[in-house]
Amino acid sequence: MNPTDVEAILIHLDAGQVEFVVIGGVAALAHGSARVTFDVDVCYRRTRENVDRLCKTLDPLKPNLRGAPEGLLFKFDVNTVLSGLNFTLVTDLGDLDLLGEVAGLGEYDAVENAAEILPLYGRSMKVITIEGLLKAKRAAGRRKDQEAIVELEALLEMQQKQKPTT
Amino acid sequence: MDDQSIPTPAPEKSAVERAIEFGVDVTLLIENLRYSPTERLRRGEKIMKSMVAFKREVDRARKLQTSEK
Repeated sequence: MNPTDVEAILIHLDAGQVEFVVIGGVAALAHGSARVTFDVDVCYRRTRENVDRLCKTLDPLKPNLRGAPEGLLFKFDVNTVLSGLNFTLVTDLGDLDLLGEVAGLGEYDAVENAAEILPLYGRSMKVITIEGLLKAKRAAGRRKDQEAIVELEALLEMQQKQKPTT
Repeated sequence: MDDQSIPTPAPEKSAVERAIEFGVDVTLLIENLRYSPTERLRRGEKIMKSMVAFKREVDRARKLQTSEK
């Protein structure tokens, strides 16, 4: 298992002008979570133009389905992406999950509406807000998310207290 | 009526208090909030990389142990 290079993956996607929102554990980490994550989750816009950019951008990283049996033929191209929705990939830079929609929020536009722009690695990237993460995690209803929900609620409260009152 | 017989509702716990009760180490959150989002990601990545390296070392040691048996 090679560690995922979060910084390189996000910069690579941004440089490829892919429309995406950072979600999941990396988004939580950016907001102050203390939970370590081993993959990068992004929600991508499912227009043909964007999917084309996504495929061209990821092609040099040799994306393949994570956990797929050896020898299984997988071609990461526009048709494959448009025929599917969510992809759990392994790339030369590490694990990358591409989500066409997010539970509790919906498709890209809804996720983008629940995002804010954060300065990351000298760039401006769309990152889902803590409120958005909470909606998604509550909707997913997974036991493993219970601690994450409690932590995010605490972070939200701490950040709200930090904000200057007008 | 005796005022003392009326139970006073317990004040609602804050999210931070609930997190502490749940077992979340809030000191880590306080520490993280001192950093910028990029610094938080870089710190998280560093921890993740050292955990992967640690797991690799444990796997290597286990293999060695098995082969010595």
